[in-house]
Amino acid sequence: MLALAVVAGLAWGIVALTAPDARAPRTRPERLLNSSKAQILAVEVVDPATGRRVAAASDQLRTLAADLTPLLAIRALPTVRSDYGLDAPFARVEARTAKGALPALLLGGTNFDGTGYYARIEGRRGAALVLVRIGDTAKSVLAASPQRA
Amino acid sequence: MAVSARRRLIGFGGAGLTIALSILVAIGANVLALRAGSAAVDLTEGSRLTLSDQTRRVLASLRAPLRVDAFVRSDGSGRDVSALLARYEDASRRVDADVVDPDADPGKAQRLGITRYGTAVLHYRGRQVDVNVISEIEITSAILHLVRGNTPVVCFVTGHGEAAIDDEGPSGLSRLMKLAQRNGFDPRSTSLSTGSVDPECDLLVLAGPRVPLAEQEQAAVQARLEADGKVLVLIDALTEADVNPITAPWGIRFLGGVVVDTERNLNDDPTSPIVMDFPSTNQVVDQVPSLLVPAAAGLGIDDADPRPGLHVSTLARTSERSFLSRDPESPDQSQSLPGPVTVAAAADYSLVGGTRPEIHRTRLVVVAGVALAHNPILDTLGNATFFANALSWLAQHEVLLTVTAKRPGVHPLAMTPERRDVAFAATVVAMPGAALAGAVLVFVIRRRR
Repeated sequence: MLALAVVAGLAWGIVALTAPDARAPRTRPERLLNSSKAQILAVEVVDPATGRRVAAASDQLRTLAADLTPLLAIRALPTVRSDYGLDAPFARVEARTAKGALPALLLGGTNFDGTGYYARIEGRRGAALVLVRIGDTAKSVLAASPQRA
Repeated sequence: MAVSARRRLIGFGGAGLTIALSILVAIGANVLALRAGSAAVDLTEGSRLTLSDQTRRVLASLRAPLRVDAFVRSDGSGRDVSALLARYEDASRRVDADVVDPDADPGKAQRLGITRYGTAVLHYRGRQVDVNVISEIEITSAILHLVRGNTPVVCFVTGHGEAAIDDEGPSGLSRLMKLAQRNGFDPRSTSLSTGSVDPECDLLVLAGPRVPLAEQEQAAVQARLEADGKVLVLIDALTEADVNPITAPWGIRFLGGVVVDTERNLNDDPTSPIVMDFPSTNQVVDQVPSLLVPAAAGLGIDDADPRPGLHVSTLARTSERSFLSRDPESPDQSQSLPGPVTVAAAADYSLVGGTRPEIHRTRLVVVAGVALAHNPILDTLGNATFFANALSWLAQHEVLLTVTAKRPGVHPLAMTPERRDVAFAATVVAMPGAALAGAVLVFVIRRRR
């Protein structure tokens, strides 16, 4: 019986790995960043095109901190395509905690029905769809505040 | 000892060989199955997983390549769609189908104007049709529509404060216009000031006139209806126009008022009822789970069909706890009409007559509300499907629906005393008894050794 179970498991694994949809986007929420809300001390949004760096105001900080702790992907996408807008992201979100900086979050365009922003963690493979509120808040940070030294 | 050890070694070797062979056989079988690809045997009741004969006949009528792009999530439903489209590809070499995850390929979704999951876009000889419910019946109907090639002209009447199809604002109908285009219609604006309906108009839409139609304009619409016309009327309580001279001869009266529904509404606003009661089997409400009808008014349906060959049906009505108020702000609601309130109705008049037998077919859909078609509301709940269906029904495209969907049959199991006894004997006595007997047998055999 054990032998049969091993055989079945191996066969299933081989088929599952070689099946064409093995690299399909994952639809379950996935943690992109792990941190606790209390740890986030500041969030800065950078406009990658100009290098302009703006600190989130207190209400924006609250919103971003809530969404970054943890940062959940609506969907994880295995590859980064040019039409995700991540080749030229409109914002780079940098969060700082007491232990140091979290990996930066790059934000691209919205998805087809406007329910999420394409995003990617700098230095990691793959892309993800994140909450619209994160992108909108990042935009409001860039739009509302003057350049900070 | 040496003999025993050798036997044990041989035993282990045999078992290892068996496992290795089993693994090889299992892998080989899976690889072969994977390469076999689309080979399948449909053992379902009524061959539900096989394309119908009607679909095969429609596919046989294709004379040019047909492109199908289905936009679905790449989870379970996506696999079902993929399997369905693979059947179309297998059935006709002219069909080229692709399943696209719109999140993974947003560029393609944007190019084809996709704004929701579960949409399929079909292209054939330069024409395009969108299908919002990906099923065999919908896909085949759309193909038939494309093969036939006619594009009915939908004329939206202007000049009385109606919502405009080129208005992208919150009171506009630009999304309704796009919906009509995606479903194979040619939407246009039209004026009735000449006293007649443009002969190019296959369908006429009165989308919320605010001021009364001139007599000659009203007469033009009436004449069109009498001449086998197809008309959609949207009207709410804010209007000064009286549409009853147009709709009443077809058994539908506009009552005005404002529906107040405390049971089913949006965001606790009782004047934004959510309609979930669709008492007819009319195609207009097919696949419509619910409707959001803000500022809905009421309709009256004549109990007796006012002329031979005319059938009037209630399409949608509000909940039992709703009522039609003359003044929703007034504390005195004694003059209110109790619910459910009809908010959409359809009249279908068909008659064979004349000296040379002809088929007369007049169709009218009346909706006691305009806001449900406005841009911000159209894509809410089943509103878009309702209007797509209404246009198709008015254009008599329901003939496409003769392609029947295969639905799983329902076979209720009546638990008679006899069956109950059999179930009890099998699950409580026979199965545990067999396990117990097996254990006793093993015990006895081991004791004998």
